[in-house]
Amino acid sequence: MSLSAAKQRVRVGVARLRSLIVGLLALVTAAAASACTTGEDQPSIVVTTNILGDITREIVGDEADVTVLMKPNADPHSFGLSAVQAAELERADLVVYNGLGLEENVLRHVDAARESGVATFAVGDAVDPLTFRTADDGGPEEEEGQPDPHFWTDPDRVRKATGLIADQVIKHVDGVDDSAIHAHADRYDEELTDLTAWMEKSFDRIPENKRALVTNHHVFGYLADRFGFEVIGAVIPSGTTLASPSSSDLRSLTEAMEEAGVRTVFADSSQPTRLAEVLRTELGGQVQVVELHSESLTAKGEGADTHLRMMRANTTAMTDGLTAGTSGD
Amino acid sequence: MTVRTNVTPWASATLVLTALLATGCAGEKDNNSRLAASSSSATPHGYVEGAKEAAEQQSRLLLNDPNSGDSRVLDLITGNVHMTARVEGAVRLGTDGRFGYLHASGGTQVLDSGAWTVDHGDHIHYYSAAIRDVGKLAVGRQAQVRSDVVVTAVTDEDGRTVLYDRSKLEKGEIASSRTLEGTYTGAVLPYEEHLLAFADEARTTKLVVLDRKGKPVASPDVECEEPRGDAVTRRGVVLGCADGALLVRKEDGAFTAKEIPYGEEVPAKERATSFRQRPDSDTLTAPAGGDAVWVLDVSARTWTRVDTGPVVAANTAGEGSPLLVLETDGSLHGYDIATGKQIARTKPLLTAEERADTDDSAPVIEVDRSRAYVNDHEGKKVFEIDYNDDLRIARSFDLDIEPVLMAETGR
Repeated sequence: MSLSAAKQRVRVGVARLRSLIVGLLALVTAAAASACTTGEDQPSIVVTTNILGDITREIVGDEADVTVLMKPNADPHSFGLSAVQAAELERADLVVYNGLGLEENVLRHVDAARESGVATFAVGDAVDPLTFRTADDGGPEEEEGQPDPHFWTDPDRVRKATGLIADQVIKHVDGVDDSAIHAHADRYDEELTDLTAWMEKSFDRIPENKRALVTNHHVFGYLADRFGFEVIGAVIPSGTTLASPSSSDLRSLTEAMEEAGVRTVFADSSQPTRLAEVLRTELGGQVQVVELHSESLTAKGEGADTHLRMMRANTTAMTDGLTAGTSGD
Repeated sequence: MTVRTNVTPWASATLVLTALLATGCAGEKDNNSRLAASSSSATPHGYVEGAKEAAEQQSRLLLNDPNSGDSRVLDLITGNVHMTARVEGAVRLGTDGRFGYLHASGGTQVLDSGAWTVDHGDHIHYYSAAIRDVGKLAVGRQAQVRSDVVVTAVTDEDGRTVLYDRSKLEKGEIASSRTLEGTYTGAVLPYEEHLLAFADEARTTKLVVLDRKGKPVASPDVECEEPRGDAVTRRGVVLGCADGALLVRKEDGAFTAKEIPYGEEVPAKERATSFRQRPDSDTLTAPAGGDAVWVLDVSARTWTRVDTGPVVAANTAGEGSPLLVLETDGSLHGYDIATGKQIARTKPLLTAEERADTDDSAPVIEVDRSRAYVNDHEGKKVFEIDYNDDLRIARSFDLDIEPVLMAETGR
């Protein structure tokens, strides 16, 4: 092929590409423009946490836009809003939030939205919340006696929430098809009923005297209450301590484990293997360190991207953790 | 090649246009799905670009040898040592928990240790990121640097104070945001969205409270003779004065100051002039002359003088932990604060003989929630002490420099 021939061909290619791009541009512009105009009419629901966002989306389906403010793998206590999101909140037809003090940095925006006339629904308040246990009893020190916001670890309360959110959507969001919302909520209700039954069946494998969660999480009070577990709070030693730990560094954990009669710790640790190893040295025998999902869904495909998957993942982790090696003990 | 150079501008033009259309739309209309897709600008609080969040505190030690100028960062989780900026002739190393400030005659070098903590009260975030030499502040070597999460206040030897945007420092830029009017005595302290400072007045120094723009706001009417030493605690800021301390805090939107007098005549030589503490702790320590240490319990507002051997450095984790004193015998000693009795001591840790002189280049004791660290510069070592286990030496780190100056970060 001669050089000029090659150039010729290239030029043709460029011309084709150009027309293609021009065409695409026109299409994109048209699409964007139409999206903008239809956007005005689509009713909108804003949800604070990603767990409630998942539940709300199950109920709403395509009947309205559902915006979730908290990103995957984030912390509900401390995520904040952008100015655009805050404005969005005030234009929503309905704001669904957890409440009971969970979304500390968002609450004032929710209050502002309510004051400007937006319907808001605090799910936690409506599902018969438990209170945190006392610090002596494994609860968080500063929140003793306060309502516990982490109701989603009890699937029965999530079922109750499903019905209530559906009612709120139908009441406040104009233009949704009531029967579709009811149908979605009923279907999700069934899935939650199945989840509860499956969790009961899984936990049945754990001997009664091993139903204890030694953990640094404060979110499993509802699950414990519903399925007959005991939560025993413990301090997880830090990274530098693990390099060369003393018995006193591990005391909180080892005492909790001895009290509970279990060999599994449910905790986030950056060095779970090392933590298990030092506990093994301290206590003798097998020790497991297992991570649980607590206050946030994961990104898609990371194991807990929906409430149902998060609950199943945790149930499996707890059951496996508390049944492993029980025959040997 | 021709194709690429011709098409790229077109393609990027398309992208730009599309992006413009998309943002234009999201900004104006109630299109929620679009907003959700573009919400990366609204980062959740726990997320920090370029940093890794960890389950536990990411402790690091900043180390410098003023003679060779070598600096190192010792990662206490992994035990790895990182090289960083060469700074010769430093006389002092300060930290705000993340950045190290190496004060030398040519200016103050700012080092980002890449480890820090964000406290939300009921829960804490821990981060680690790359270690970075941020750059130099053009100030004298006696300059004072104090920082909160938003503002870094740098007070030069002549009392002139420049505020820096801390979020820029976090991105590796030194950008002054404002120079305060007038001059102040000692450090200017960012605290509770304000600045605390001392202004010279006739024959005394008065506490002044400024907003972050440097404008004076209502301030408690208190004086402080010869202010020296300051510390931030959970119960307020402690400022050292000739006759005791001032506890300054914000209550119901207003700043208050309470005096915590020594309650006895304390010679100038024996007053507290610089405080050491576990970060956030309410128990402060300060050398009390040659062979005693002041322990200030901020919650009980009491001073306790503990008699010790000749003091090189002192510190404590508080909350029932022993008072730690590095003495001229080279050993770390543990004292029960309530009884004043010595309860433990280590073998000699220091290779060089130290005088009972707690100047800025003397060895220090850094304390966090679980361990204490002591630098033995001549032995090129750092010792990790388990202060709740009879001052057990948990680990020791051999270094390739003399760690004359040391500061712990990640807290």
